[in-house]
Amino acid sequence: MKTKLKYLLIASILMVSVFSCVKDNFNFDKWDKEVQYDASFAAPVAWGDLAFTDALRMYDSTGLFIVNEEGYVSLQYLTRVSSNKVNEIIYLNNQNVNGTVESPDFNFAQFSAFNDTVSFFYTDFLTFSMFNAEAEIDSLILKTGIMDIATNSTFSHSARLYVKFPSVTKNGVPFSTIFTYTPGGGSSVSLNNDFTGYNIDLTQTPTNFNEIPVEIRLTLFWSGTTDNSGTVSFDVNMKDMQYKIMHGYFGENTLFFESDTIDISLFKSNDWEIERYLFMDPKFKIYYWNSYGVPSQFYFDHLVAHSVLQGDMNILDDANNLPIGPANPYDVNYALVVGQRMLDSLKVNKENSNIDDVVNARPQWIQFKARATTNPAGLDHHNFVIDDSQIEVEVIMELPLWGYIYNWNLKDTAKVDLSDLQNEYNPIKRVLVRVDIQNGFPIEAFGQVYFTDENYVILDSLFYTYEERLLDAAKVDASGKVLDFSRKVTKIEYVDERLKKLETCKYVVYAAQANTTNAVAGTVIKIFKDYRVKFDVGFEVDLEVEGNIDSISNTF
Amino acid sequence: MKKHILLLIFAGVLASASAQQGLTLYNMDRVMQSQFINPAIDVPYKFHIGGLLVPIAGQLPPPIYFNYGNNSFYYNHILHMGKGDKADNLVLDIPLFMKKLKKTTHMRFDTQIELLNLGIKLENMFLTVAITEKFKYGMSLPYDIFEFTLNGNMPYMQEGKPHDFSGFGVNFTHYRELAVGGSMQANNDLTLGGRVKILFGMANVNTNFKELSLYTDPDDYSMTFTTDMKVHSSLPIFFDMNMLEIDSVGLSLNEASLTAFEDNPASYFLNLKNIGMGFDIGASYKLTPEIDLYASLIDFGFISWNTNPQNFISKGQYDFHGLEVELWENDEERDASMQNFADTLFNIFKPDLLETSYLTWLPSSVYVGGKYKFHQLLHFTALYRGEFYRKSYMQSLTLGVNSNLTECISAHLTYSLAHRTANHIGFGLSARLGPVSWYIITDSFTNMIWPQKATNINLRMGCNIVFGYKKIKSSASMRT
Repeated sequence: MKTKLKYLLIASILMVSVFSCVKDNFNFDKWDKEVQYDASFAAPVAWGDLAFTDALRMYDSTGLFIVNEEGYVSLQYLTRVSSNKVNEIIYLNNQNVNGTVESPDFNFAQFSAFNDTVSFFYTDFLTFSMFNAEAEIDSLILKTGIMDIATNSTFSHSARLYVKFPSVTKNGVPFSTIFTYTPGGGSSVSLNNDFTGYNIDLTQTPTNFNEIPVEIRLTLFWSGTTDNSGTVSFDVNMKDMQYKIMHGYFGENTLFFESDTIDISLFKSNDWEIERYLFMDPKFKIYYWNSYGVPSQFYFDHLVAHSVLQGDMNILDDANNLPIGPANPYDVNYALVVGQRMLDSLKVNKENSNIDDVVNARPQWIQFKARATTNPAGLDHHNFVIDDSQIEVEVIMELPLWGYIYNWNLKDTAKVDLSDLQNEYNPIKRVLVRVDIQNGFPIEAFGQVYFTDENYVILDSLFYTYEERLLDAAKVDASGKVLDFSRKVTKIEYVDERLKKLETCKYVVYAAQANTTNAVAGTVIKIFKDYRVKFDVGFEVDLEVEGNIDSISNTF
Repeated sequence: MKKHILLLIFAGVLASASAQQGLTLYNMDRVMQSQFINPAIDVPYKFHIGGLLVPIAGQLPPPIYFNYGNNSFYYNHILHMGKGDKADNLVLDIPLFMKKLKKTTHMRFDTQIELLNLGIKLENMFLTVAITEKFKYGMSLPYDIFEFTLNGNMPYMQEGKPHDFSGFGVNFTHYRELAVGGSMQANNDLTLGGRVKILFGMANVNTNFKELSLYTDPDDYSMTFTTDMKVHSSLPIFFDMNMLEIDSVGLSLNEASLTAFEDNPASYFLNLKNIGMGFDIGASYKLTPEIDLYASLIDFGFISWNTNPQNFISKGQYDFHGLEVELWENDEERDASMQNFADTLFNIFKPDLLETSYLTWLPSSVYVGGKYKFHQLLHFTALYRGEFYRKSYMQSLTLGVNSNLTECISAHLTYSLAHRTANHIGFGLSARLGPVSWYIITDSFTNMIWPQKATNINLRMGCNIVFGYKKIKSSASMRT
């Protein structure tokens, strides 16, 4: 019995132990929640195959880069200026003519009974006062205009006044109007006659310009009185006239052009500096659009570049071929037919000016003032102008990307907050970024990043070399054109120990430096639009997390 | 020494055994269900009937079989009690877990419910009919999924190896088996048996990943994704797939099929359209009066799935070099570029949907074993089992001790080598009271006691009504 009890007890203890063991294994409250994760991943991040033309298309909406006549790329800065509005220079004044017909002008011999009439006819001239004392206008078509005629009769007889402008026509019909008066006289007016679309021929008087004839016919009707005295007076006003087209000779007029400064951002930016550079063929191009039908001469009053190094520099005419100054104006093309807009251009380059000296002095801006004078040759009745005639001037400073740049450098500082990397459970133990660049540009680039504390004391730098070469310049042939891609693989590695150095980092100072191929030796290169750069970025990261899962969850 | 070496060799060879099934049952000839494992087994009854449909006897207990198998790891490989100051704590042990993983980890479940089984002895033949409802489901996980998740892709990248995920799989099959079998004594020593099975498929989801891999290039870290995979399904409620554009990707239940199922759920169980066939064959041979040899091939068959068949096929390869950076003019252009990238990925890997019938094969098993009748009441057995499952071949070796203790009670103890573990002690018991014969069997009761160390848990139980049972006589020359 005792033995059996002993065995039963042992069995019970065993069973309790077993079940207790099983229960413990599935009692998740006993889990210490300590986890350890240790993994390494590598993945590609981004790649690209970018052509210079893509950049031009995307970012150069203002046309800063162009493909020049030689097929490679130029950097250009431009400004466009328009002349005064045409109706500020060539305009129509209000015009007026008045006159009187008096009784002595009549022959009353057969004028004594009812139904007797007597008439007087004469032609007066309305002389137009013009915008320019020398102007001799032949014809014009009105876009708008108003004519008011006011008359008055003092005759005792009834009368009728007939006024006609034979050279003011619309659809071939001259303008005329009739005024009637009752016996004893009175006033009669014709106001707000709309002259829109009327053609005015100012050559139908002996003067042959600037005048129009006005035909006056006054008829008296015997009205039962022997008193034949009296007058009829008229006053004609042409006002608010705007022309659609005007022909004739407009005299000498001056148009003024003054540009804003053309900022040369390459040299103006405070973000970067260039130690040494050379542009082989800098140039100015001046384009002149003229829709006036008037011969004109153009010249600069003022063509200046401002340089930090040398202050204001005049752009000079080396060969006396440039219209710089009134002594050497340029005869520009002008419209020969109504509606035409003529283009003319000038080129200022190192052959005919001091522009290369100006460009090499790092100009920050350029400004010009110019003027155009019409009819320099004097009287010419072939001038014409329309209501939106204009002269526009565009000045372009072109820097063909042919030359070299040595030590373009940039430095800047940014505030950073790297506290996220410092938390207890930062899983990143190592990160490596691999940048593979195949460079089709003749440009090499270097870079460095410094991490500093709030007092700008350097805590660490991204690269161990002074400046890491990030981009190898492509090799060029004798003409400066790239022969083949160059390849550079850069690996940037950061491990946990280095991250710890950045605990107090507040600023990141980054510096970049670039040169064209072999710029130190003065090798010149050309940038063609088909140049491209291919790149490939990937990363490796070692993750390690060890700790209590609740603490880790709370951290993230 | 030699014996130890032999044992070690066996342990090594059989280290990959899996999903145990019928390892203890195989030699329980008083339980007619042993004919499910070898149709040639001679049961000592003239007539038997069992199954859920049999009143009372079929429910007490219900004739069910449940099996869980994992060919790689068990619970303690992930969480186990610590050591030292952690002795009272559960600790997470990922390195141990990774060490235990095999090339492909198969986690499988098998549930069977006998609806009806009948057997009748006719002269030198024994005929059987059985209807069983079978549910087989599981998941396969390739080692490389864990390797990638827990260690990252760099180790393989440095070796120039791709991550191979093609072992991944999800499977679910529900089918009804109508088996008609028989065994016949060919001569005094040889008995042959076989079962022809008509299979009625109810539902199936089956994956076939010919290729699913990720290769990371060590030079530029570019990744190559390759897929060649199929997912088949035959379900009463099927899916509508919208994969025309990435923005409208969606899998939704087909409303008509859902309504039809809700209106008539019984139609699911009466579906006869997914027909299959299978067969079992077996043999037993009396080598000597003391030694019997057995062999059988089980579940060699297939099912053709014809109800709502859906085949999602994806095949493609994509080299990922990162996001393509272009000179975007504005946010809209950038977003359009990202969308374009997503669309490209989508179009490469977008699955095509075919609605054609397909075939699945049953996981077949082969058994080879022997029995040594040491004593009238004591028999020793050895059984080798191999199973073909999803391009894997899994094996086990079982040694057993069987005793027909009395006319009514028999007990069986087994010891199996499987899953690189040697802790599977199985137990079977059958007891008869009058015509009612109960049985309860497990291939690893130790795992049921210590589930934290279980790679296999199974249990079979049920009740048969038996008639014409004969006294068990030992054959000639058995020791007494």
